[in-house]
Amino acid sequence: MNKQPIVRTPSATRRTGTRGLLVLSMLGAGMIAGCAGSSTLTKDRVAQSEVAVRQAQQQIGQSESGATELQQAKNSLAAAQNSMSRGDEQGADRNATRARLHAELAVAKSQSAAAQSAAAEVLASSKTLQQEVDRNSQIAR
Amino acid sequence: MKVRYTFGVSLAVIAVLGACSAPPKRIESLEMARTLVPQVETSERAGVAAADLSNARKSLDAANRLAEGRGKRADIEYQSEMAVMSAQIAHEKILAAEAQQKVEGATAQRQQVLLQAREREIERSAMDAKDADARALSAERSADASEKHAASLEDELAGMRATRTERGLVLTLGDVLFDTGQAAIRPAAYGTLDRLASALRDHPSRSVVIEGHTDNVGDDSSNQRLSESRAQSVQSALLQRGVSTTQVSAVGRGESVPVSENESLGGRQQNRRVELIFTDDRAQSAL
Repeated sequence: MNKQPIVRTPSATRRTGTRGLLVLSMLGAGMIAGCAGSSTLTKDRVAQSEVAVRQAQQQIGQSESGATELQQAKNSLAAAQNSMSRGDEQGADRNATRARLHAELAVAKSQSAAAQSAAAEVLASSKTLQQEVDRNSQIAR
Repeated sequence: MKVRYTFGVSLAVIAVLGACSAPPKRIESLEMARTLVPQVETSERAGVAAADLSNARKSLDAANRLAEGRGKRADIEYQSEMAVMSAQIAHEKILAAEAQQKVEGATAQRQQVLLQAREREIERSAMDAKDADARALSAERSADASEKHAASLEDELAGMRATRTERGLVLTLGDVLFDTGQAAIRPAAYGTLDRLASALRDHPSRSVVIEGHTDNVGDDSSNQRLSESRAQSVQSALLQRGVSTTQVSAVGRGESVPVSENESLGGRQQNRRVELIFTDDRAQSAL
């Protein structure tokens, strides 16, 4: 068997080089795209979370109930924005969703606490009224 | 060297494969989601948070699928976290709805209590009005009775030959009821005094002014003293018979107010007298 030496013709060498460049270009483009920013969907999601956190802030105000969740929402929103700036699409998306849910939970907790407080107040008031009426009736008799 | 290289590659591959294929260890958030989501779903008022519970269920299902399909731990944790948060939101909404229901119930109960109180108040007012009517009727009857009593006093005094004058009703005790020149009352006057005292006790609102009078025989000062003494005698007699001191007063007029001429015996006898002037709303003393 004669061993035939591998001889690269100049044209073959050129073809290999072209292919490599193409692959490198594609990778580069991909990286650039990744760094340049996130998809519109993620941007929208982060924007929606911003709105949700802002609204939660307005609704909760200085209330204690929901304050922890609101802070978590703010932290998640900051993480989402950070992920977006780094081109971490999934991180931005997930943190934006976390921020929105934390904001919703903050509002729900605040509203629930207010409703329960109102219920307790009305029940107590009603009980006092009943006692007052009963006492007056007894006096009248 | 080749062996070592091969082992190293194998370890890496096993490690990689192991990481991909090994079932994930216990994931706290997934366990929490598996507990919490069904718990909230079975709440009586789950309907008020249907959308949140639907999201929670979808996320839990996704987490379960990932866990069974050997998905990435981070993905399982993310889906579990979403399921837990959605369930928590639903839970808070349910609590708020329950509290709202309590508020509505308590408000209705409060209205009921107020209504009940108002009804009792009306009932009480009606009873009070009835009582007031009864009291008014009773007062009216009492007034009538007093009127009758007063009338009977007037009748009684009239029976004692009392006469109505501008100064009021006047009863005159004549000279014959006293010893001559003395203030002592004769026993013949006791009957009259008893009746007078009785009438005054029955009518404590009425009072009497006792005036003593003399004729012009003797000097003025002795006549004045005699008139005062006789008036005071009558006052004492009435007080002894239980008449209140506030009802009786005595004054001597001397010979200054004759009712007849002092020239004749008869005239002087008329002038020697004690007058009892009854005062009340209808008759005022002219002191």
